[in-house]
Amino acid sequence: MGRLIFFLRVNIRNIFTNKKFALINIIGLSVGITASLLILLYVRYETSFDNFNPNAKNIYRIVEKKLQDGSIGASTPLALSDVLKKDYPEIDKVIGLMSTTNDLKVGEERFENLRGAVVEKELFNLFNFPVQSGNQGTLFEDPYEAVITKSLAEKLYGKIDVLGETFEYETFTFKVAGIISDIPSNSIFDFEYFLSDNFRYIYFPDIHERWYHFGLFTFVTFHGSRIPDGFENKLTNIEKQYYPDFMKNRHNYLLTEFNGSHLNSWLENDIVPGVNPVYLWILSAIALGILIIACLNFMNISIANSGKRSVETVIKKVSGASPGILIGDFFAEISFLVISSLVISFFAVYLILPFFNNLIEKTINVDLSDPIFWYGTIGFGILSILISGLYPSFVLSRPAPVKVLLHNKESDKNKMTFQKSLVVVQYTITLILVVIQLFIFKQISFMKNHETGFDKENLVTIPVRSLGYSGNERMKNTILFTDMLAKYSSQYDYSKASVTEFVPGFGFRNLFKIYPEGNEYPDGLELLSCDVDENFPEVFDMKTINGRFFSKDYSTDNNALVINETAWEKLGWKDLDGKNAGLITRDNIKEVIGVINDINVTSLQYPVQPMIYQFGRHHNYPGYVTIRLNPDKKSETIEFIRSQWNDMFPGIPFGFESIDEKYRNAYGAEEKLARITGIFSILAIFLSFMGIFALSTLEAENRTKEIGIRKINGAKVSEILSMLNKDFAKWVIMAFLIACPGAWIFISKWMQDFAYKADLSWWVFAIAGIMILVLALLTVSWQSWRAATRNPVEALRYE
Amino acid sequence: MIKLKNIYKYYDSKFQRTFVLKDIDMEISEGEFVTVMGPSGAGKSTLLNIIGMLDEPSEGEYYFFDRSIHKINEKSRVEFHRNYMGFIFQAFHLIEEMTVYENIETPLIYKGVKASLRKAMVAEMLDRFNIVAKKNLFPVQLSGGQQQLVGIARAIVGKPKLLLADEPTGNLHTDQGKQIMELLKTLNDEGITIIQVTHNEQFALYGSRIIRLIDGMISSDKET
Repeated sequence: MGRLIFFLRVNIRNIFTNKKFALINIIGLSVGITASLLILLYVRYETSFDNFNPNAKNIYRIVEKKLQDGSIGASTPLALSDVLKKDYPEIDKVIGLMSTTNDLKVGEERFENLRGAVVEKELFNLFNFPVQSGNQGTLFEDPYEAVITKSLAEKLYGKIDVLGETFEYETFTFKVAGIISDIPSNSIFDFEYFLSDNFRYIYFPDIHERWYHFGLFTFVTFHGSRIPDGFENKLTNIEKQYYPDFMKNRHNYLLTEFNGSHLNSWLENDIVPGVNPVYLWILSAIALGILIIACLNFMNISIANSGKRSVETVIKKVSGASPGILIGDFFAEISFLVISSLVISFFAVYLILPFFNNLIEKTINVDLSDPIFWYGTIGFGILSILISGLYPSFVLSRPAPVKVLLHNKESDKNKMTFQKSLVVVQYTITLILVVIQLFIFKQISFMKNHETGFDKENLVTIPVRSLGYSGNERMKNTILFTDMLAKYSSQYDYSKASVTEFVPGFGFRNLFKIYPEGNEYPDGLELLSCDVDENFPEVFDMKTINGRFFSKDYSTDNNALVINETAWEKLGWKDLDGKNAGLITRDNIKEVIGVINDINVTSLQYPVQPMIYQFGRHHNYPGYVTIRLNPDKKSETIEFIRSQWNDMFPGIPFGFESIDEKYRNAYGAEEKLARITGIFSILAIFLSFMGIFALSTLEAENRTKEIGIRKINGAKVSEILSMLNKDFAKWVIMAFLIACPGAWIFISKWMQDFAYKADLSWWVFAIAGIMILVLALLTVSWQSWRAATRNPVEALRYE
Repeated sequence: MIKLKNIYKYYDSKFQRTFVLKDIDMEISEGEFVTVMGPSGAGKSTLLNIIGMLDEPSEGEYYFFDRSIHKINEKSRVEFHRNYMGFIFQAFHLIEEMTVYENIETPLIYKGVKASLRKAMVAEMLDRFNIVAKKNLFPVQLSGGQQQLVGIARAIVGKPKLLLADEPTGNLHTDQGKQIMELLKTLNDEGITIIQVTHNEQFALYGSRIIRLIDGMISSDKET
């Protein structure tokens, strides 16, 4: 112990006399550990969803598997929960949750876009959100009762004691009947208010028939801890017994564990989107990469310094130090550095976390009571100590005293080779990150700029679902609205208005089967459906490829279909003469009158699906009114329409969205990944350059004498420079050769998920390589220049 | 104390074996002050390193206090270094990051000497070499002669039986060299066995016996 303290004192002094290297070491390790800790926190956050709930392991979710493409969705038909309660006695509790994002009104004040749920009160017990006040026995018996979180209470009423206060949800008035603490951010229940489950029978009086309406997240527990035998099979009875014909053979129900469902990337449309564990692995790999780069810096500097330290080592040896003691001393020194870096990282994490949260759009907190956080911290410390220390400690303890005393330089050459192979490792990691980064950018910009099949510019869409609770009322108001738009279109120079059920960019959500005449598709062909009006092709600038589009002039068009190119190809028809297809059922015959060009209705990650369009005027499902604006009059036009809307429909909020923007925002996950890898690539580059800077400094120092002698013998500065830089360039190029296939494998794996892929162009690799090479040479030249221009007399005097 | 029998030291390169020491036989008793002389490349330092257990002979037997050193393991080698040997170098080889005091203290720490005793032993050395005032200075702040004084202090603070000095005066000018040799003489009188390598005929005479090496072989071995 006394020995350790003695040498630690000496070594700390040593660290601070070599300020440049100490700084590089401590900054490097701190950056590496901070990055790793942040990623640990993030991974921990994503993997800890709802783990605060002691009941979690007994809770199961019922999800639906679409037979068409095998995809699995979290939301089930609204009618499901009552049937589960009625027909399945083996189920203990059923929780059917409908989520909503809506405005709440208190008095005249409107609070926008608040997340809420319509749900059974059992949720609070089962998911460990204790209701702190309110009459629990009768809670939610009244359909107009609500439970809200403390922070929502503060927001709505400015106080916590709010039992009996009221708020308006759409046209309904709710009474606050209970308060709960805020729900932790690592829960899929990202809600602030909960409305009584009985409210659903008021909102959807026909809820028992809504097997086609998906939007219920279903959680169940069973009596006893095991799943009853054959339960999943028994669920197939629901379809036989209750489903309308057109819903049959479309999906199955699956039972899946609630625990870990947040990491089921195959579970689509969950309350809080699940996270793909692959992304977590990528991030962990990046963190490890950065930590390794930082540790290799440390290792490199230690080895480069070992020449200076070998005398010290020998003296210690002849003074009676065994190799074990020498290694121990060295590890004590590293441990001191690593622990200092850990302390710095700890504060850095607190400082950076808000920015990091902003970057990844999450709310992650440092939970000091979480043992995983401490294991991680200690783990990173030990890992850093081991990686940084293992090799140097042996190098430092190894030198045979004789060689050092005889100034035998034989081993120096090997040392440099080893060090430079470390540089290769660092630059390989850095280059892989940079290349990946460039390709993520390329893919995103490729998707953003790719043709979607129609002109997105200046298209503005106004959601009109809020214009009435019944289809008739909504349709009536929508027509009033479009008539108004038509009246002013020349004044504000905008296009005709197109009324559609969905709009491109927001996705088409109806999936129907058609049964084309002929035998190609005996089980029907599933395709997306959207109701449109006659103005759709004109407003969206789309082309009719074959036949014609809907027209008000033909009354038969109410009973006709227009298909897209993909559907046309799937059907394999040569012409449209007398082509008919049954829609939803075989007998519901519709005439196919035209083919319209393909458009991408969502992110270009997904291919164009076969689609049908129906003439929607008579269907009463208007969802959006879309017009193309004159770009010079954009804001005044919107303001004008807003004021007209407010006059026509007082109390109903006006909203609009730019379709172009919707497409650009469709790549959130990719852009988030790009932002994260971007930040960490920059860190990796920074650390690698610090390393190469240190190494070139040491190299220039070690070769001072050689450089002096060469200059005396007539070497030019440029020759000295190229001598010093050549090696570094060689190793960066070698790293590039290793990095290319590595990055290529990764990128092609990542791109597999995209229907539309940017080219894996060679020039992206070249740009990354050249950029890093130039930066590396600039870094190295800084030191080389100083060494090369030094007066040789001065250099030689030091020997 | 030291007995070398048929010691050879050679390096094998591709086609040729280069001999540094050839068939060295010698015996050194406790209390002797031996000077090893010879031209550059004669193998003086190698011989000293073998005796100091810093290097191993290629062939031959080496007995130190009747223990056969040629088949010794690392652990006992460390024990010998801790308890029997002190080294002095031409280039002083003080640890630059340590103060004078700490440099002298180092061997005691490896020996596991208790802190209070250590303090006393280092203080005694500082006192003896008149460097108390310099104890908190770093090696770069000292003159060559002073550095070598610290080197000797470090070598003998652990009370070794054998002091090995490889050209201890090589980097010093004559006055300082003389001073160091006087000191070695005194140490020898106090009972420490000393083996020194030197080029300096004058300083060689401080020894009680001179062994001359030429081309790795002993050419003469005489009392002075």
